[in-house]
Amino acid sequence: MTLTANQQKALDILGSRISGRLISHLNSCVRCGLCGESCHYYLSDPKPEYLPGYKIEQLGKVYRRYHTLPGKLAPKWTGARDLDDEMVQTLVDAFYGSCTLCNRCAPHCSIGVDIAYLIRTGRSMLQAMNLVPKGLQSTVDTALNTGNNMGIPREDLVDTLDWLAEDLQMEVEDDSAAIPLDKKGAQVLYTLNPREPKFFPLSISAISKIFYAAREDWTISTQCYDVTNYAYFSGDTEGARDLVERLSNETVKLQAKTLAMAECGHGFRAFRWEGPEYIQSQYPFEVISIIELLAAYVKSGRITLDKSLNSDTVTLHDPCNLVRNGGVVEEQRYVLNHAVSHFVEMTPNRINNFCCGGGGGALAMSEYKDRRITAGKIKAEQIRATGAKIVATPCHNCIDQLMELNQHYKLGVEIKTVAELVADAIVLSS
Amino acid sequence: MPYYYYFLLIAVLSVALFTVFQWIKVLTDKRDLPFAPPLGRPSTAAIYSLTLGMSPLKKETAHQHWPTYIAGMGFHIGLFLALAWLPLHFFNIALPSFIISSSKGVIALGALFGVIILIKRVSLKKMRQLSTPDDYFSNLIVTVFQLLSVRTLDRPSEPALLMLWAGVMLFYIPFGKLRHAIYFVPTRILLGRYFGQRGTWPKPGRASQ
Repeated sequence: MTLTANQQKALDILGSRISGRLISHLNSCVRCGLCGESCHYYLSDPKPEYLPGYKIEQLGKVYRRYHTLPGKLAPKWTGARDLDDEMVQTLVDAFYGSCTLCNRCAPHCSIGVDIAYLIRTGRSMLQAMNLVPKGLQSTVDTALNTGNNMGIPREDLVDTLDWLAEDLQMEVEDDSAAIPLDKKGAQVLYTLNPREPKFFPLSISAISKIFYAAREDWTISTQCYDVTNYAYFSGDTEGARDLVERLSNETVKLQAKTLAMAECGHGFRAFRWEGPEYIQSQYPFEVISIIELLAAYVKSGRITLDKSLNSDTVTLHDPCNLVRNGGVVEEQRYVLNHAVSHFVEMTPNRINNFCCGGGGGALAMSEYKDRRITAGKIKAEQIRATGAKIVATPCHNCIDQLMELNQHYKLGVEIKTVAELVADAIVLSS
Repeated sequence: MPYYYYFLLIAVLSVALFTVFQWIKVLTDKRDLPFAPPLGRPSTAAIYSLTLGMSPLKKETAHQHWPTYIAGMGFHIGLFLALAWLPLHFFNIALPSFIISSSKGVIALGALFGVIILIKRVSLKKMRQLSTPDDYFSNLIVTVFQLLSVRTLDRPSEPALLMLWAGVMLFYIPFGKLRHAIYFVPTRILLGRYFGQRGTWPKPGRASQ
């Protein structure tokens, strides 16, 4: 078969990614078909195409065709496939349309195949062919071209933060309360999800109040503040590296000791865990999730909380990228147990949590919207079973999906960030 | 020494060498070494991944599919026992009759489970859609190996067919689905390292607790 230039590019990407890890995971799947019940897509619509094993098998077929002797000599026998147009469409559907990279299937896999890692490798191949779904690509492009994924001009951000600072002064009745911008040498450089200044300024108010109460030495950069990294989801490793470098350079420029990542699962994962791999070195500063910082404030007594101020029953949605793939598992529970009167867990939870259905860039891919809402049924049922009135989640991406699920499945709950609940429970010292 | 002894010996050595080579290659590849400072202990998590992490109570693929899990385990136990008998046949070592008869039972049960798994793969639409000809063949080659092992336990003076079949099966490992036998251990180690690096395996929980 003659390959087009784009198909060759995809195969070049696959070739360049072949390492011990890739070989091992690609050669291990036994196609037992038992992984379906670990995937929210399959559980909500049990099609064979939604089996995690089926999805990675599509990459396995291409790998075997071009990189193994049996696949070259007897492709039908081993199920190897040419990377033709039909196969490419299958890959697009499997990698972008049927997986959120939540990796829930990996710890439950009979063998232990790191399925999300393989899917992301496949996404990189498709990205090289310019086949990233339009909405997701547009989000990446906007972030790379404007410095934030919503294209917010710096002046608008500064205006928003200025009036939020005035609000803060009124709320805490202290004219010295502030949202410090571009301050050099601060202890903490805090990032934002651009959705916050654009649509959810109250979450910035919440974190500002917490920093004020903790008497934290903090700042926000008005040049480079976007916590998200959708290039990680699109498979654009170069773009993801670029975004990581920008935030890293800004932290160094502002001489901050700690970079605190806002409540954003994938942003934390992409910067804390994947970033050092992209830039092939460690950062010269500490990187933590704001959830870890909140837990430290509560533990050290830097903030005082009155849990009776949050009297409704609260449950917690664990963002896959922060929890299973990010390692921040208990901190949010520790914080919520101090900030709310009645905290109930979803079942399952922690590293066995189900994806909300909005991860992996799914919210930006409008062509798969119906699937996203259907796949979210598992999460909706989990929430309903808790009987909670409030769902807390430390991830703005999850919040967007949960808000849609709330409406679609008529859950009648309120969705909040963890910081919002903490801010509501804060007792300010006189 | 008859020719089939040599054939089996070469097959065993080839697979062993290939396996060692692949394990070293996979587990020492510098491109896969992480730069991010670990939150947990990757080595502890790798051990967990190979032990408690494989407990059926930890894996939905097991505890939500008990019949298939038991069939799969039985199939593999039968296979490993049949493999363990190969050197005994090779060196013509005799064992007490009760060990022979119980071995026959376990290996025969393994073969039966192999047939059941094959029927499941053929009869379910989702399994057919997932399967390749190699999947069916790999099951058959192992199931027949187990049946031949039972036969040879009955007739230890006629090991030729078993040894030839075992040699073919071992030679086939790197070329088909059976290669998971080579990559299973490194794959679990790699998964353990991944979750250990991120502090989620064996058990999350840090300073604030």
